[in-house]
Amino acid sequence: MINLALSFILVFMTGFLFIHFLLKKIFFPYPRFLAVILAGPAGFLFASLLLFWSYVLSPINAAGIASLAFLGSVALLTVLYCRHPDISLPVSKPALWIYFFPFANHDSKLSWRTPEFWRCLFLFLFRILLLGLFFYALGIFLRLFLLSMLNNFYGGWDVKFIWHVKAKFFFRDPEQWQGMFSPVFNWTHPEYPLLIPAVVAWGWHWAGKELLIWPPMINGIFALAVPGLIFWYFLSKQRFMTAFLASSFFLLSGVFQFWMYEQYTDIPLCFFYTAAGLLLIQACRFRAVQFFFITGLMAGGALWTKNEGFVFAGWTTLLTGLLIVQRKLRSKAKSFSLSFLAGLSLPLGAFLYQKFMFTPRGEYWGAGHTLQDYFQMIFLDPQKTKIVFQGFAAYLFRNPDWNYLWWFFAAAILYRFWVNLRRRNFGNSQDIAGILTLMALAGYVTVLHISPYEIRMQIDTALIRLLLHASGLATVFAFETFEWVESSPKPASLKSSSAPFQTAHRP
Amino acid sequence: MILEENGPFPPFGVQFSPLENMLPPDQTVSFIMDYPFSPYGRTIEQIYTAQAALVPRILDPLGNQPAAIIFCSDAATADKRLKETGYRLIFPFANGKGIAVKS
Repeated sequence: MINLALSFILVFMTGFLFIHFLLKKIFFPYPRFLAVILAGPAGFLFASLLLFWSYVLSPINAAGIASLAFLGSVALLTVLYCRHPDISLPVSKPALWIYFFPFANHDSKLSWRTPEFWRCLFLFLFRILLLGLFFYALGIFLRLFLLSMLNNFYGGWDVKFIWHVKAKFFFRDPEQWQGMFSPVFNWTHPEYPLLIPAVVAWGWHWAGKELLIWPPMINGIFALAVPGLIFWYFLSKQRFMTAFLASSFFLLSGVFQFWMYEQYTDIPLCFFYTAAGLLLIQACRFRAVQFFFITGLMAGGALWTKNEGFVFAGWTTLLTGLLIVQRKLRSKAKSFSLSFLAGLSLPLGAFLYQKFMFTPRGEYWGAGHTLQDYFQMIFLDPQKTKIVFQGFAAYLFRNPDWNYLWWFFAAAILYRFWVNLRRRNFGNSQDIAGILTLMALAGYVTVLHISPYEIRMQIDTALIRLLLHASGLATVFAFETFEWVESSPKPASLKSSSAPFQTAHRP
Repeated sequence: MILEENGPFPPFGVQFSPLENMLPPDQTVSFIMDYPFSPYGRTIEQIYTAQAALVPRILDPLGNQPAAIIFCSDAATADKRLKETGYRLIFPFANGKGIAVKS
């Protein structure tokens, strides 16, 4: 157990040091908070890639090679991190605590007879209520997380019969690990990418046994990181109220709660979609190569988690290219593009190696279809198209577990389209989350058309989870579109670095 | 207790654990159930559970391997399925279960 705890600390440290080291020289609010949120998932991504390549090199010694390489990486990152001092210059960090005490903005004592006093009191009570809602949502999440560890430790169907079977191939007999790619038992989807199986096996190797507690822990960290990212995104824009509201809204989504409890890999995929989208927004906002690199890494994390992530990584690459051109970033276009591709290539290399070397014949990849076949499947089967769109309509708009997220999102899309049309200005950074969400949904419409499975069964068993992937981005887009920006009183003094409503410094 | 390998819970697929010592880890074996394999079949969970428990052995649901695990609900059904698939029971367990080879 101590070994497992140590492995987790190392994974977290690696992720944190790597992300924070990269972001050290960019001036934006709450870099450490972002590094903490990304630390677990990024660490898991590195651990899984190291373990996979170690198995490719030498299956018998794979666990040892991966662990040594990982320890070496941690040591190197620690040295690099300590040798380069933290540059925390003039980024004004809005202090969260001041947000909850609007009276703190006033130098002198406010008289209860003034309207300002009552305004501050109302804000104080409203914000305390908001905090209560947030902690209520967080409490529900923690309860479900503990229940998944104590009551549903094997996870749902796909988890115990697909993902953990692959992890057992990694762990039980390293010499036989390639058995997981055998086409004989194709019902376990031999061609699925290996982030989760490798991370599960990573912990088991450190613990020396198949610990039940490890997989729910991985799942919980990914699950908590999604609302964490939403919270950080709005926090970094100094939208405190929206940060609390949007993250609480996401935590209270029945769909998110159910699949988190079931420990499906759709939760990590939702994290990577959300992370790639939100970091792409920041990459365009701060015009920093480091953000482009991490965006690429997160898009790569998506394709290393599930096959659907490959489509999303394609969309992200396309959108990044378009944004670099459209936002007149041409002077640095090469370094931005190369940074994005460098981040993407780490998981993409493992993904392609697996596809070409171990599973060249999959359900989608290497299915043997020609372009003409794809054209026919996508455009010349109106009956299937009708079923697919009926499925989308039902699962998007008639499922109460979403708490009306997709109605909210649809309204936001229409509103933004109307506003952009009037201003003749498309492609704002505010639109990126919405565009990526639409792209992800369009990709799933296409994938369902070429699915080898009976379409109604496929929709019944998978569509809700596919929609979950993009729900983090949809939440951000909807809340950002309709957010109520509180009118803030003029701070009495801006001398304090913790003044609440200063804008972030842009390099 | 949750920090132990299985905690207070029975290991996953414990009903298949006696087979672990009888089957070499690098072997692919057939898995014969009451009904021929279908991805949407009624007994599908049995083969999924067996596969998860018996890793790294690979289970072939289509009966193409020289050896097979027979996992039927009773002896009569097992006899019927043995005839259909061309296997001969060599290690019979109770209630239509056992290990068979191609006859």
